[in-house]
Amino acid sequence: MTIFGIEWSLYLGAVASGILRTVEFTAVSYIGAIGLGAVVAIGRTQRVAVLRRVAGAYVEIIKNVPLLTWIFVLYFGLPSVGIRLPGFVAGCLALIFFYGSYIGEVFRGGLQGVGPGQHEAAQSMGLTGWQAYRYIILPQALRLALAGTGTMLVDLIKATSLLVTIAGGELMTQGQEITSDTFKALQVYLVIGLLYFLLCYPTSQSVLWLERRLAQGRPLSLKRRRWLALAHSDRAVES
Amino acid sequence: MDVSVSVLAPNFTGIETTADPIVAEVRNLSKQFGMHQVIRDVSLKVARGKVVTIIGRSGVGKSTLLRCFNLLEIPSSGQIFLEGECIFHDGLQISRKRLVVARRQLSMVFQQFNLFQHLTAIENVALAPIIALGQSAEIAIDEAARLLAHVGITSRKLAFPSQLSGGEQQRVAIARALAVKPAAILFDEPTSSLDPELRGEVLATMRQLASEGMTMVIVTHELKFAADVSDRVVFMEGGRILEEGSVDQVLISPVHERTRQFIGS
Repeated sequence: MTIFGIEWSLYLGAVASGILRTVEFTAVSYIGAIGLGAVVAIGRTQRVAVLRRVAGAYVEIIKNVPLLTWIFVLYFGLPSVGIRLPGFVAGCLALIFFYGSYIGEVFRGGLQGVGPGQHEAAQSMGLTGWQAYRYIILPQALRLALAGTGTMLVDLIKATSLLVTIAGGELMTQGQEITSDTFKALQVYLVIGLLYFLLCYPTSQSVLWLERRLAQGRPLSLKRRRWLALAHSDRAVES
Repeated sequence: MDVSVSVLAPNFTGIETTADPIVAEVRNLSKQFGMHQVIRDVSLKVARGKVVTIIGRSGVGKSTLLRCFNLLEIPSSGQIFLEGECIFHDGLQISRKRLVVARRQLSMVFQQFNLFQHLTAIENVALAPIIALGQSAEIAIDEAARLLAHVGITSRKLAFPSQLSGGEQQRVAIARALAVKPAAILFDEPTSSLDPELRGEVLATMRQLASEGMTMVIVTHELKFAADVSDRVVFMEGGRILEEGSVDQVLISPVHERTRQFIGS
């Protein structure tokens, strides 16, 4: 099939491999970043000052240094101190290190967005601290953090393209290879752009869909599903 | 729900109520926020089945005092007793586990309602019985529906707090407080955030609870309501209890000039 004068059927394998690599980078890095983000968010909301300051310093450093710098430090810089990381590992670590901070800030916003009144109401009902978090605080924090966390996912997908600089093998790298093969840079990169769009747009729409469902009051846990089913069945006495 | 008898010999001062058991008591309670002394040496007993109303100007320490009862505020000094058991004594409070159990005895209704936004009204009421009391979901949901009917919310039981009016939200909050079967309910200015037209329904619900024999401690600015339902009225000024007694003694013919000024205003 010829698009923009390029016989793309020749490059299907490369494109597929590029997309797969992009997805791999995204999946691993996103999970890692969420884990790190949770730690950062908890660290920044602690009463212990040391934890707060360490987490705060980390966030400030990340906010003020480009992602590309970290990619280069991990891939090109570390070998000079004897640590040679494979491309995939270096790429994922850089992405986790970078996005962990932003996702951490989104989580922190979610946690702090749940007012102190909620904590107090939970306490006054005789819920333990853990119960309050599990049933009252975290569900609300999650709903508040959902939009931001979803945005970070799309951002991360696009950021994987920076790994072209370390021959990461993802979609942009493949684009570069195809360009050097066909010398049709504009056409190639337009199609690559379209492919990124096809990756990102459904993702952001899915997040929006999930947000809408939660806003309508759909329960997230099986427990709640059961409670609501019980409540709907007209077992209760109507006054 | 154990009732243990305090081994400390109580030193009763002031007016003593009848033989009704004391549900909650604070003795010589003081509370400081930094340099600011909010509560000064306050002692107050709450007897079973009675309604105690705390009145006074804004900022005088009423809410802080109320919140000391269930240790949402930690006092600077003094003692707190719950059904005869000492739960706080000069800086030392009981273990977290016992505190959690104790708090259920004194559930609270807040000025800002503080309903759990992500749960429907009926879930708000049923949550604590299921999670904290270990009740089965079927029983808890049934009971929650019954409590909501009791406060006049039935058709809206599946609504979310954001879909309810202020008056409805506060009534759900009252049902929620009832669900944990407390020894007493603490009301922290329950109608202060409500438009005047919505206050009536909440006050009616509270009147109903009082007539059913619920032990209640209410901080409020609604003096007429206080006169209607209270067994005892406590007037606070400058962090102290200035006057304490029956409705006649405090609201109708108070002794102190400051009390008269407040009520007259």
